[in-house]
Amino acid sequence: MKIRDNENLVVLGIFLALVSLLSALVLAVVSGVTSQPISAAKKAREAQALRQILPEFDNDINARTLTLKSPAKWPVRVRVARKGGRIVGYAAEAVNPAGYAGAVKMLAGINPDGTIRAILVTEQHETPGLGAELCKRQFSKTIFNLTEPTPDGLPPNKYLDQFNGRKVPAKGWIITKDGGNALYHTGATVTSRAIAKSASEIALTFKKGRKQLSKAFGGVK
Amino acid sequence: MKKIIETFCKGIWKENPVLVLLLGTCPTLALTTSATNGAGMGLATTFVLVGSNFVISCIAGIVPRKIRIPVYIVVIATFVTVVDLLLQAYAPASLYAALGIFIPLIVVNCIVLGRAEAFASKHNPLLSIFDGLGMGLGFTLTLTMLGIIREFASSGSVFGVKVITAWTTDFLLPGSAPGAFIIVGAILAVRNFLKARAAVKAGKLYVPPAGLDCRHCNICALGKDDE
Repeated sequence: MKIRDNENLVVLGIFLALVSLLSALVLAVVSGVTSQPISAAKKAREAQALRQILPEFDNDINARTLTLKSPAKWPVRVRVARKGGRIVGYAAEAVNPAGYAGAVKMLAGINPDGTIRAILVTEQHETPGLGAELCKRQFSKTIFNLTEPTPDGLPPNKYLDQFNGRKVPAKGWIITKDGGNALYHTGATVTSRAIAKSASEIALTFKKGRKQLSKAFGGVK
Repeated sequence: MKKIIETFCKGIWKENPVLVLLLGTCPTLALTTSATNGAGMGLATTFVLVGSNFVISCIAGIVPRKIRIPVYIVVIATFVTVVDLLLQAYAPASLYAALGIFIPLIVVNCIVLGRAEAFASKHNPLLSIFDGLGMGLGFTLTLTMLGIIREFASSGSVFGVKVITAWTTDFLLPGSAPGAFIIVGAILAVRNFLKARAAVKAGKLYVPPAGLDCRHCNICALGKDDE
């Protein structure tokens, strides 16, 4: 009998198992080949993000991390950037679980005085073209400046830049729709809320956690 | 040779997977918010389609009929995971960030399983590769076209380049899912109108292309005459 017309359950089971085994083998090979480039790409992305949000630094920033609790009990991962031994800033990372479609991960550069220097959204699943635009940093290209080289530095984004250098209110920043004065985008209220909330949590953590920070890293006035 | 060209070309217009077969509507609606995303998704799908079509037409002769669908799905899922890993490793970060969560969806994209069952399992590997290429190209072109229309209508830019600089506020509808439905619907209506008018002019009744309605497919029991 031809295998094509076989209806014996055991034979069918073995056939399916063999096919799965073969596919697992293929995947193992591909995964082995790509694992190094993938982790390298991840590391490069992370290093670039840190360079963008922090002033120039020369220490090994990943050498030491401190996890602080934010007022809403989120863990905030803090790393310190030094230049010539002096603290020039901190990198703070927090995950807001309440985005429009899952978590929004934020990486913020913090000045030594505790104010926000620059914010990046490093991971999000917001609506493409709507919520996602609020999290994106990109230099706008038009047909008039198409041939000009892209400027260096961090592309501006008014929703992320609005917190830079500002003192955080006791309750954190609240979007105008909810009675506060932080910017929000019509149609992307949830994303706007998530951004304002994440920025507030990070800023408040730094406001309240000064003691812990100076204990861990030293040198905070 | 003639058959290869015919197989290749039919996917682009005559049996376009989105506009005629109406397959793969999920990525069509979800991923065409910008021209870049549409083109990227189309190319990723094309790669999976060509690979899975080739493998499936090679193994179709020995796969027991009873378990052919699970076997096809395993083959397709393997290709999708390979594409996912390759994109993560070698594609620019922005492309992977945009497509990342949609890549696993190619597994359940009806175009891939549909072509495996309707074409690859019945034709030789060479023809199947060209069928995958043609269908993939048709899919890519349609997605890119939709992406261009939606991106331009919502923000005045094409491929991320602002064409109309005076467009300061974004127009939300074309960028959202309802807008995608409306635009796809309008394109389908225009296409069917042209086809029907051509048929009337030729003095014939407009019938959908043969082999494309429910009666000709053998994946499920729907549309079968119950005797």
